[in-house]
Amino acid sequence: MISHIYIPDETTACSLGADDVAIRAQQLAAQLPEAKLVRNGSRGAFHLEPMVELEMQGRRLAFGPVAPEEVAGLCTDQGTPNVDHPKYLGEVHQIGFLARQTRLTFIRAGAMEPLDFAAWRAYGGGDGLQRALKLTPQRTISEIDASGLRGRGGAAFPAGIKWRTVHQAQDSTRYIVCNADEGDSGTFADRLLMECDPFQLLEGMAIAAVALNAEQGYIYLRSEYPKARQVLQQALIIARNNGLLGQNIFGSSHNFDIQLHVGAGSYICGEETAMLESLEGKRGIVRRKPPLPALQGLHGKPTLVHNVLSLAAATTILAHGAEAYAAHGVGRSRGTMPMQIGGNVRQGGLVEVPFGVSLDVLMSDFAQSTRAGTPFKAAQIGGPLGAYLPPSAWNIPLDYEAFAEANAMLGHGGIVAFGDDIDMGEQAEFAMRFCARESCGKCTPCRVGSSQGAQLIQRIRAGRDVRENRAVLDDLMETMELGSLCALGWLTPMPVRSILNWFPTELGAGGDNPSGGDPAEGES
Amino acid sequence: MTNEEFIAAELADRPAGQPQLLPLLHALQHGYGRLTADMIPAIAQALNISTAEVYGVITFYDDFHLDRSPPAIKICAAEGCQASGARDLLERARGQFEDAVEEVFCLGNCALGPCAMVGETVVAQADTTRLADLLEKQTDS
Repeated sequence: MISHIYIPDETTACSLGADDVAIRAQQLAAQLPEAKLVRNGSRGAFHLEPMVELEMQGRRLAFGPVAPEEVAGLCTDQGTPNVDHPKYLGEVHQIGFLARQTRLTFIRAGAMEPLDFAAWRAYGGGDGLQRALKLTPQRTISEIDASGLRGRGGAAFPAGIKWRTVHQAQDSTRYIVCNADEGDSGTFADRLLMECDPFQLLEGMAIAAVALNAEQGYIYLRSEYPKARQVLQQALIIARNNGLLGQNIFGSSHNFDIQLHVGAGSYICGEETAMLESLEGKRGIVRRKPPLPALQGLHGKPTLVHNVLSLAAATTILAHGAEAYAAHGVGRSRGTMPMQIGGNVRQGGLVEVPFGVSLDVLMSDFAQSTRAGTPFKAAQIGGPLGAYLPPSAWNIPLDYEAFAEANAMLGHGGIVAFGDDIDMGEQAEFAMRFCARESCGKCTPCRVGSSQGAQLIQRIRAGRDVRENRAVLDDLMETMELGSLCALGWLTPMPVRSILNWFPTELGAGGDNPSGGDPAEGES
Repeated sequence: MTNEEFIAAELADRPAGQPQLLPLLHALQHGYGRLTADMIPAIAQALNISTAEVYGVITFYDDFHLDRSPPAIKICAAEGCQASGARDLLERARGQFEDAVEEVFCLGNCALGPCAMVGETVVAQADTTRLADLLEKQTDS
């Protein structure tokens, strides 16, 4: 008999109608004597959402994507899963998109109800913190160091060095701040983790708090994620009730609590110092570094600022040891990277793989093709500040250094794929316009350079004085790269340069257009 | 309830010693449907900061709208959705819903664009018909 019917309660699944599917599933469950409806997290195979799993004798059989009117047919008259249904996918762990992944961070996503604390513990949640409570702070930091973990937010700074810097800071008040302002287009791994396994994030922050002797943590969540906000609000309460947060966490002598802070629609607040300003209730203006946030961060106190996935990785590292984590990966990129495939793709979603897997493999095995089944024209990797690469340049391993060598970056692991309907000149212009819009305005290269850059690209696209405007654009981009205060200014030229390099015919190689007017004339 | 009373009640509900301005602005905009210029002195007074600071924060963040209601429909205009028709959707939605539309940059639903959000409902593969439906439902409730 069917014991459980699982239907995700997660943003993507719900945007595709999972709530309506759940209403029908509730009716179905009422007809089955033993079946219980569970709203689990998503496993991240978004092309299969809403995905329904029917559990019988411990086996979970998947169907997807399921429309509400199809729910009744998922079950036979005998009350067993209807494996002859056209939407039947087989056992959930054998679905190719999932079976080909190496899931460490996302191992529990979709397996359980995200706010079921007992289920979380049963699936190994909390093991990392339990071990950290038995270790000295130095030993925990050594584990993080030895794992090779690098910041997953995009900058890839060695986490161990960051932890050690905070640990050695003189001030006794320290803060743990989680950067959940996942603003890069094409990224949703932080959101998925927070919605599907929220306690893992809280556990990661608690591990850091124990090692660094901090009593207060903050999660800076972007406002565009209402469901993540609702889940986290409840998760914080449940975590306090179960001793994961609050006084004497897990029965130890450590006290640690976390406050959720919601942003207000500003991309630059994903930059760590702008985020700290915003957390202090101010405009998100980037701070000059030094001082490093590790020494003078929130309210001037030593602060560990980490992305959601970095803190989540700490739980795996502590639970299973640095060696097990570092066994995955290549070169200086150790462990796994939760990549996110989006844009114009047939199969998109969360793909956690060890570093070293080739980008080509991700695109062919996972994304496969555009929705229409046509070949890809390009993929932008690493968010709006990342490079656009054509399929001919995809033969590179997922590795921070290999991407840097290819004048690209992995960033936070977002891949946005494009079909041949995209105009690369327009994308280059957008890169500059986005920077102009989101610049905090503190430094001139970013504030002025971006709007100038957009105008220059507009003129080049119109075929006006192409050689001259190209020369000015190159000069301007160099100024932005060398003179900007933070990554927004210094990386905005990356997508533009990649388009000039890989798609020259779409940005200026055609030369002057004698009939081209000046479209920038009269524009602000 | 006056602005002052609303602000006092909001602040009383929050842990002391924490920065209050952003949460307070969210609460005011949500509670009254919009932020108005006459709230600024009351906020400044309650938090012991200057009116310039309050005004600066309101105008810095895209979520806050001064003296007008926040648009009901957010349409993603970032690359993930550009790849799947966001520019076209944005143009058509602006034609149909005018000021009720604002562009945002990423709703984190990037494999199923173009995406939009009405209230707190995220819509995958959005079109103007679906947006009109949701807008109507929201207005009804």
